[in-house]
Amino acid sequence: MVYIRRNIWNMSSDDPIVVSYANAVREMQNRDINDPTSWLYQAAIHATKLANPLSSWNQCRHGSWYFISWHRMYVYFFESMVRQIVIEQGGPTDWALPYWDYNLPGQNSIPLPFRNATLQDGSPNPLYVSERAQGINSGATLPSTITNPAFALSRLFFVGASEFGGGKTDPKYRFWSLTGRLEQTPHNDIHNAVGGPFGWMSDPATAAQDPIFWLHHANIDRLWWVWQNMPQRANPTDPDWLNQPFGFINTSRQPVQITALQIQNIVAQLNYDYDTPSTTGEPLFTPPGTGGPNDIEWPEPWPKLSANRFDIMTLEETMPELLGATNQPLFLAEESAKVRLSIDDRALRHSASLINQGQLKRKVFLDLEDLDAEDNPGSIYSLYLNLPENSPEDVKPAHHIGNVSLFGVERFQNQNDDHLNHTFRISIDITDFLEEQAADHTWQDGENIDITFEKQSLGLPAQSEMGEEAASDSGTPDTPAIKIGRISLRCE
Amino acid sequence: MNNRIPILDRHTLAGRIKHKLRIHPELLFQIPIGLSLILLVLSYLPYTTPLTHIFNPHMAHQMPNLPKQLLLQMPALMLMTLIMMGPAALPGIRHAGISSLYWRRKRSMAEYAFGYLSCWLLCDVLLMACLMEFDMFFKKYQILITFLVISAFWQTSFLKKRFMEKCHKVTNLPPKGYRAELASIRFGIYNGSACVGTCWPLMAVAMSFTYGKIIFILLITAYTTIERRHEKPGELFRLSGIAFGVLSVLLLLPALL
Ligand SMILES: [Cu+2]
Repeated sequence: MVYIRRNIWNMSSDDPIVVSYANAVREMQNRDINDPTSWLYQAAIHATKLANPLSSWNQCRHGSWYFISWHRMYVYFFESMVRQIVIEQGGPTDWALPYWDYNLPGQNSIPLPFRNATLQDGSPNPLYVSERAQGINSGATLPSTITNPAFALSRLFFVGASEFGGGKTDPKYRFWSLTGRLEQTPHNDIHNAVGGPFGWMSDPATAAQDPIFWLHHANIDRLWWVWQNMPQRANPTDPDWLNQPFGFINTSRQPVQITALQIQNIVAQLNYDYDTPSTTGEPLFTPPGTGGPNDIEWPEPWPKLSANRFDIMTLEETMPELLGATNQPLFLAEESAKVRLSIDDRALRHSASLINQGQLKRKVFLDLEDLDAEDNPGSIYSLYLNLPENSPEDVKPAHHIGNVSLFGVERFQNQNDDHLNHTFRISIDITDFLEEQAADHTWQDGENIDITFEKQSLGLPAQSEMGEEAASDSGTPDTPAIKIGRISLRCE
Repeated sequence: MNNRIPILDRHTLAGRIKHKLRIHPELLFQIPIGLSLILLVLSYLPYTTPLTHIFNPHMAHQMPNLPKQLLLQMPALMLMTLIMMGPAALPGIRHAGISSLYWRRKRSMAEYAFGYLSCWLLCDVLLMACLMEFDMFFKKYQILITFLVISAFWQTSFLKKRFMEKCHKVTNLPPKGYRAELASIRFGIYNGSACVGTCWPLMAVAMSFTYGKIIFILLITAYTTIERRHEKPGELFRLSGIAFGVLSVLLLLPALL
């Protein structure tokens, strides 16, 4: 049979799927940490701060092309373990993990069953965690800048830091910095938004202890499935990606190995599917600036890009060419910041004129280099390209090119970990944005590029609805700044 | 696409070399390192004076006028430093290159190399001066063993790790103007001083070897090259620390017997 993962927001708090998830979580939380079916053991497979970790712990892959595939495997084995416990407890035999699609209207706050510390009978709610960002448990809403997967889904290629799935990395390393666009937005941003500066979700070592983690990852997995089924997209065919085995523990508590080749088709190979219309071809959302919901079947490549327009070469064959950069590091702590990058005309002449009859000659990337922070500040900044001063809100989406958030930054500071040879960075392909802006004359000078950073915050509910949270709030402590060593423009 | 950088003909050797240099601009700096190595090996051929003898502190101190002697040692010291520490500088040189506008790529790499080597030169002079002084009071093997023991401890110390982190860190590189030139030099000094911090005992050992110096130089070269590129150098630190410890005991045995 095929298990169907359903949208949590379409379930009531007493839906058997929700209730049995809560019961299974409670049962797992009561089990000993050395038992592979225990809650802490399962979370530790992702990452843990515990000393003397077991060899099956600390396995997660981030900032890498393995991010998406490793997490599909992880969630799959977790789900089968929970299903087994649900069945043991007399719950539904077709139990499947629900997902949280925060990008749907009205669903951009944490689902109701996760909010209250206690259940109706007064017992503690296993799905509740107090270690979340302020306001989350009162129903604070997440901004669409961080929930919208449209840009990630618009990437036609899987492999590459500015593509859908992330850059090719060595499987040994757990935290690398070739973060793909899906991993950044919505994945990393949602982690930060739900966890805030101090919550569990903001740190890879505690994230999977929050029961909402699994619903978030089910949604990330669903988005991969959506992407896979969109036209022109394909998963990597590189054997290094396909055949790399990763170890997990199955429901019989036995270690097993699985490769990306075995998880390509969630229905045929893994016996699960999603209830969304995504797999039947209905639109999930409308990418900004591409007309109403009726004229497209699939989210169009956004705004437009055909696979053959640039002869794609690997990094080994091209030399990235710097076009311009900032003089000083930027420290993001305020609500907003603006940076101007001048394109060096000698570099421009050398690398061919960027714009020719409304078409860019080469791909242009915006790189945020050498990102750092004392700790993950939990903050998220949106980046806008050439956003005019005092733009009204409805103009912003057309200039929004991505976000900065530092989920996992702690790992880069851990000297015993494996981060000596690289720094945290974010690369965004802005070719299409520049082209659009040049075509409609919002970007006129062709010599300077303005980047505006704006802090994204949760839509907090009214004080009266905040309950305990409002009472405990005695002013937010200063969050540490995000340092961006250099912002640069590169073409390839 | 007619404005693209011309595609090189990769069927000819010249084309292939040009292509390689376009992708790896830092390889240009491999040339002086390679030449130094050849020079060193050649000097060991029969009827030549091994270059490494020139900067033998034992011989040097027998001559008067220490500053002048130090000055005479400089070329050979530079050569040894280039061979042993040059390969470890290549990743930094590369970063300085590819993070710069194309027209100041070579300049930026040269500035980095200048900053990096200046740090080592300073360290070399200080070490050499110390060795010359020590040589008047101690036997050669005593100096060597002392530095081997220091190396063994240093390799496994907390400080080594701290310096190593700085070796891999990058500093901000503005795109152009005087700021860019200063920044490239500063980046070289930043990494170079960290590199001196991680590897000075190795340099001291290399200097205090009298016999078989060339073998040790080659070993250190291989080691620093791997260490700089290794993702988890902590494992290497431990192994090399043990190796130095064993070596010092081996050398100490005949002296004791
Ligand atoms: Cu995650």
